Amino acid sequence: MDDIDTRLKRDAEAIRADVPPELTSRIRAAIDAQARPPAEARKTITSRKWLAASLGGAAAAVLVVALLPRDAERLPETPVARDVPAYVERLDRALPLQVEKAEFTAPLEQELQNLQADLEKARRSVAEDIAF
Amino acid sequence: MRTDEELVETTLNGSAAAFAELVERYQERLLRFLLTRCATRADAEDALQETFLNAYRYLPSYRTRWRFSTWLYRIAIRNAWRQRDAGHAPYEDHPDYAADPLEACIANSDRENAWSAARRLLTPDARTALWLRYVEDMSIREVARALGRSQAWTKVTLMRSRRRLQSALAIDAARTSERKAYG
Repeated sequence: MDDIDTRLKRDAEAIRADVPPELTSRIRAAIDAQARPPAEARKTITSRKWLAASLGGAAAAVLVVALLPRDAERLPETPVARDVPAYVERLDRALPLQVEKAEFTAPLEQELQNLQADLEKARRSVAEDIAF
Repeated sequence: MRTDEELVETTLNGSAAAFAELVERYQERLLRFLLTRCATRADAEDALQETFLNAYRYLPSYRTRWRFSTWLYRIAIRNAWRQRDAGHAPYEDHPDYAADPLEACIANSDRENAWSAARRLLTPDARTALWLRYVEDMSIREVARALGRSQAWTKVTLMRSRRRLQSALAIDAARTSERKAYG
């Protein structure tokens, strides 16, 4: 403990705070003058709270029942799309897509070999250009 | 000796004597604390009476999660503030050291009492934080709870207040020894 901590404690003890007997009697009289002891007050508060909560709950339930429409209208059904909408076709025509169809005439393995051969040719061509 | 919490329980079961024991246990400690907060001794005594009265009235709301002393100090702090709101001039507005109730309660000494210095230099909440921590040995958490402040605020305030007080007391000590040396 630091010096200041010890000093704070010691100096606090140096404050004379004798409680005069009149003050003690005054406090006791003020407490005695309380209408009820706390235990009784606690019981009353609890029962009062319980009653208030019950009444409040019942009133809220009545209010909800009164406010709810008895013949509540059914919400309109949302139509579910069954076919592809017409605008999709229009959109397809409007977009200038430049694509080529992949026409596979040989089995996939053969196509792969052809592509690899084309790639190798292109590589050689680039290598020659760089060397030149 | 019965603990505070046991006495509270006994009081709640209808025993006024148990509460009288709590009053007996805390009245001097609380009055000493209130003398550092209130402007006059009469205000401190009124705040003490109100504190016990409120404690008795609201005893059913006390939860044993906190120490009884923390709860009681919280009420005392509120009552000390209420003295200000009720139109009683706070000490800070008229620091008349000669009429200071704290000065009247401190035995004559060569050096200044640390709490007089604290009253001169620190805010009421900072003083209270120091009191609860170093006189009442409360934890930071309990001090924060009693003051209704965050733990971070409490830590920082305690550190700054200690530092400020320490340097003021060091200057005072140097002056005292100088006076002694040169008459």
